[in-house]
Formats: sequence, structure tokens, C-alpha cells
Amino acid sequence: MYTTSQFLNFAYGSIYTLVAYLAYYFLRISIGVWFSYLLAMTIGVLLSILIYHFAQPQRIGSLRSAAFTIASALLIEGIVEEFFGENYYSFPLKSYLAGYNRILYHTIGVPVQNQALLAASLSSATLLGVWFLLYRTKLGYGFRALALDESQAELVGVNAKLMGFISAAVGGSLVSEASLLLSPSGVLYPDMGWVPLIEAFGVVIVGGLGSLRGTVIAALGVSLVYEVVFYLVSPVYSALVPLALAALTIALRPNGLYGRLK
Amino acid sequence: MESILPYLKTIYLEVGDATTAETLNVAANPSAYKYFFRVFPPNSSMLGTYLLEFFGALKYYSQNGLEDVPNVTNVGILAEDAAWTQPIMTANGGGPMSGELPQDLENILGYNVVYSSFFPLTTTDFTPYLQQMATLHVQLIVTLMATDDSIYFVKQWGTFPWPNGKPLVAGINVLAGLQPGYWNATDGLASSVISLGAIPPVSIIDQYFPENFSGQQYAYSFNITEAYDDFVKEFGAPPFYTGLGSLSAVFVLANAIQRAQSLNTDKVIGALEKTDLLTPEGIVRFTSDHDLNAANIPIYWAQWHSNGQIYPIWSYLYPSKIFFFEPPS
Repeated sequence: MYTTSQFLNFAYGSIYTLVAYLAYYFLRISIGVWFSYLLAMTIGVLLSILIYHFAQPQRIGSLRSAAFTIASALLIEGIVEEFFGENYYSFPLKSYLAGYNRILYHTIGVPVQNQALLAASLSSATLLGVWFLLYRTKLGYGFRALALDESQAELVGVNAKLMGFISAAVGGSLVSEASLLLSPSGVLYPDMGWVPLIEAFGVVIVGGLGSLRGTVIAALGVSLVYEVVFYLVSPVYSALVPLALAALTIALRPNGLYGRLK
Repeated sequence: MESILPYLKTIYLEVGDATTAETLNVAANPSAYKYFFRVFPPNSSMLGTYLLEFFGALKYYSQNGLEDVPNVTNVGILAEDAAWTQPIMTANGGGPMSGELPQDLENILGYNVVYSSFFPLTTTDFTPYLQQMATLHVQLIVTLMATDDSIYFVKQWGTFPWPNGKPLVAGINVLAGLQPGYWNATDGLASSVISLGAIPPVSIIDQYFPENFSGQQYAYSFNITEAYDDFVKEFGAPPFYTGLGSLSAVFVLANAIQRAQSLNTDKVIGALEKTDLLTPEGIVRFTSDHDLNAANIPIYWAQWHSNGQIYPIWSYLYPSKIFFFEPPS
């Protein structure tokens, strides 16, 4: 999204939160699991597009755009808090998804939550899907052309404005999917989206803005460093790892591992 | 907030925070920080003392085979990395026992503390901590948690494949006092979790814990049960510990204004310093550094049961009995 339209959306964390709450609410009113998730995701995507519509950097400038997304984040969080209160909610998980995978634990001695396994599987499939979209479809060629040179891409018929909206939709769907995969194993509260946003931001900086390969490698690398710091240094310092690595990257290699700034 | 009190020159009655930083400011610079008074809860040092009292009682019951209390040798401590836990984990200064909580549990109570760790406040995955404790055969997990991390922790503790039986969880778990929110948020996995600071139904407390400070019977000057029931009627849920403290703070302030016969800040502060008042939380008095004198504040330990209700199980006011204890399953 950033390399396509130079747009940094700080409201993704709040969209993450809103989608989780909506899915929870739809499940509680019993409209069916799949429909609940689909409806929540759709709202997340539409909201992402709406925020992009008002916050396009080409129209209002990068600084105002970032400020608008932060304001949107706070507004969404406030609306969630107003409607749902500050109580804590828990997703009604299916029994086979709750808890830890006993087969894995008894065979290799490693406790892994069932929901985490599902999240890892589906997000891997999604990553493959995103890669396919970017590198094997006409739409993906358009994104990559815009990332290389916007004016040249427009000369060969790539509609930059439309691509911006499409990338907002894709971004919204990825955030929504992340929310629906991660929230069920935890607890819902109004400002729950900030921690994943900050961690994701750190990973993207390390991997390089605009690079899918860099983001994947950075995610794995940051996780590894996190675990090393957890076990060999202190669990308390492990929480600082994503942002510490991001700061180090900006200082030593501003483009990140595989990023390419325009 | 506390750092701007010297500029605001407004009386500040603290409810909810146990850190000692503010009262240290009062002691160091009374003219600037005299506006601060801690009403509830008792400070972190006292919380450390309460922990040792309860775990001492648990040791007694388990050694004498009483009330299904499991025999615990190996203890693990999990504390959030926050200002209020530092005085408990690193020094229990001011109380009758001095030292760090892990050391006190070992040296004074005879437990074997095999694991002790802080965790960041943003922790949502406690699996590594649980795995380490499972490897070390922890039988009792002492928790010091005040935020939503306790919900994540209990959900994961409740479903973790413990190879040697599920350890008991007991300690300071502030959110465990949320009724019925905590039960719902943990999907019912909070069964057998014990916490200091929950406010169980007063009618149960009155039934099983006679109001008895230092052997003296006393009568409430107002009906605590009625206040509790009114709260439930108004808000649809029992009070959180901050609800109890806030109500007490209102009574304390009103009483001080009445005695001062004035709304002048300095006169009210003078009256507050001489407070000796029975409130919903107990008899409130302040120390010279405006901290809560906890000598007459009844503290109850409460446990969630498998029926989704929370019960008071023990209090230092009535140390010879433990009630309603439900072992983990």
C-alpha cells in the first residue's frame, strides 16, 4: 500500500479492533459463524476504503493524511468503547479450536495453541495468495509498476487512483483476517489494536516498506530475536525487540532489508 | 496526576493504585505534596504482607490435610513488570517480614520457589512461562497481575496440557474481582483461581466472617449489605475494589469537610489527617505521609468456583478457618 500510494494507515489497529468486536457481536446474535466473519470482514474492508478516500496523500499531503488516520483510529476506538463499554469479552471458540494441541504436545513436547496453528496455516495461505496477486496477475503488475514509477505506470494505462482504492481494500481485508484469526484466542478490549499495529510497524520497517519478501523474512527474524531475548536475557526486554530492531534499521539501513524508497 | 498536585493545589484522594511513590513524595516534600491521600487499597508493601499471611495459612491447611487444600512444595511467581509489583518482589519493606517475596516464601514459609519472573504488560502469550513452570513441576503459581494480561494468562493456564496436574493459581489478580465479567471473559476457565482484592457478596462475608477487629466487636454505622445491594441494583454487577474505595473516599471527604467546618483546602487537609472513620472498606486512618493505615481494613481472599460464583475463602480476621476451598481440576 505504501509504495503504491505513499499512504500509511495508522487506523489499521482500530479496524483490527472493530472487526473483532463486530464478529463477536454477530456471533452472539447467532447469524451463523461464516456469515458473521464475512460480514465483519466486509465492514473492515469498506472502512479501510473510506478512510483512504478521505486521507489520500496526493490530495491532502502526507502529514495531514497520517494525522487523519490517527484521528480515525481514535474515533473508531471511541465508538467501540461507547457501544460495547470497557468490559472484556471472549470469543465463543469451537471446542476443537480452544486450548493447546495435545497431539503436538505429546509427540514433540511443544505446546502450541490450536487457534495459533489455524492462524499460522491460514496466514501462510494468505501470504501465498498475496504473492500470487502481486507477481502472477495483471493487477499485481499494476501495483509493482506504480511502486517503481508512478508517472511511467500511468503512461502505460495504470489507473493510480483506482489502484490506491484497491490496495486499501486489500490492506483492509488482510487486517480483518488477522483480527479474526488472532482475537478468538485472546480477549477483546477497546484499545487492543495498538500493540499488533506497533509490532507490525516494527516488522515492516525492518523488512523494508513495500517489500513482501522483506516483511516475511523480517517477521521470522524478529520472532527469533524475540525468543532469544526472552530466554537468554529477560522476558521483560523481549517486548522491546520489534521497535528496537526498527530503530536500529532506520539508523543503519533506512530502506530496511529489501525495501526501496521512491 | 500526582506530579502536578503541587501546581493544582487540589486535594487528591487516591483509589486504585498501590504504589508507594506518591506517599514518598509526601514524606519528602510535605508542603508541596500534602494534597495527596491514599484511601484504597493498602500500599504494595502491605500487599506483600497479605500474600505471606495467606500462603502461610495455605501451608498450614495443606500440611494438616484440611479442606482439600493440595500439598504444595514448588512455587512459581509471575509478576507483571509494573511499579506496584516492585516493592513486593524486591522488598517487603515496612511490614513485619522484610525481604523479597521469593525469599520470604522460602525462608519463612518453607516453600521451594523454583520459578520467578516478571513479564511485560503487553504479554498476550503466556505459553513460554507456562512451559517453563511445567518443566519445573510448579504446584502453585503466585500471580501479581492488575490488567487484562490475567485474562490471557488464566485462559492459557486453564487449557495448558499440564503433565503433572494443574497448579493452583493464587495471588493478586485484580481483574478477577470483576463479576461476572471475569468469568465470561475467561470462558469459565477461572475456576479455582484465588485472588486478593475481589469483593464477594457482603451477605456471605457477614455470615462467615464475624466483624472482629483485634477481638473487639463493632457495628457498622451504615448498612454495608444495603450499600452493596444498591450498587448491584444500580449497575447490574457487584462493585469492583475501586468501587468500594471510591465510596469510602466520598465518606472520608464529607466527614473531613464536616469536621473542618470549611471548604478551605488547608483546613480540610488538616481534618483529613485526623480521619478516624468507619467506611465501607473498614476504619480509615492515615499515616503521617498520608498513606492508608491498613491496620483496620479487613482483607478477604476470594476464589472463583466451577459454578461461576466467587466466594470469600479466607481472611486474617478469622485465620483458623478456610471456607469453600475448591482445588483446581
